[in-house]
Amino acid sequence: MAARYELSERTYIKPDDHLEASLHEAGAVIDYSGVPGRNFVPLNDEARAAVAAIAPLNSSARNVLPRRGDPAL
Amino acid sequence: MPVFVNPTLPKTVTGEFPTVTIDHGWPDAHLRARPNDALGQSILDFANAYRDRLPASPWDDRTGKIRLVPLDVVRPAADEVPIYRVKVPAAFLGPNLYTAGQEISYPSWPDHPNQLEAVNESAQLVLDYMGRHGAGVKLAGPVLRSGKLNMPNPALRGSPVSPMPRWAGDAVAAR
Repeated sequence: MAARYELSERTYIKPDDHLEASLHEAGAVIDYSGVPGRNFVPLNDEARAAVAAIAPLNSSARNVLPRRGDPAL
Repeated sequence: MPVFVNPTLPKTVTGEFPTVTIDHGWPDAHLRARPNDALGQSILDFANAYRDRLPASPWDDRTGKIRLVPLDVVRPAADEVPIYRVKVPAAFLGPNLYTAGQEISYPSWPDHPNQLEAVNESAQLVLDYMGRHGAGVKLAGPVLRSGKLNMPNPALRGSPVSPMPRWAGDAVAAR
């Protein structure tokens, strides 16, 4: 079964069962086999595994990249 | 594109018959292929064999190349959606980000074809076309239109977009 997500905000994405990318409103449920973004809320085990797989990358990026509000910016 | 020799015209100052380039359409029967031009000779042979029922051009938009197969051999009515496999750690295909090994169906021109490998025939045709004719040009729109691949003849799509900026002196000279 494909990873299934609910979008927490409006997102331009191509779900697996769509031919083209399009804009999806917040709350839309999509099947998506790519790398989930921060606005993807996992709904099944496959989706939770995909989110967990990129969690280390996200945490290291937060430590390295400057964020809005940082004193250095 | 194919270049043919026209032996019915006077020879040029170099002692050779003038040549004619045919970007669209078929060579007339009086034209000749240049020496050692296997493609030109193939086009001439095909045109002479099927002169009464030729398609519009030797170029086939659905395969993205010159296609000289007998007219009774027809392709299926529709083409599959190209399916690619990501061969680098991570790659964007449109707005989506994928990781190595994932297989994705994608009907438009991929931005980074070197990061992908073909899974089906449609994808292989698209990657071959981009490798031969995609350098320095912006391939716009979906490659799959109405269920058929559409890879236009590069000789008919206009000047390629230069990857280099114009010389600053051009603007001065134009004044």
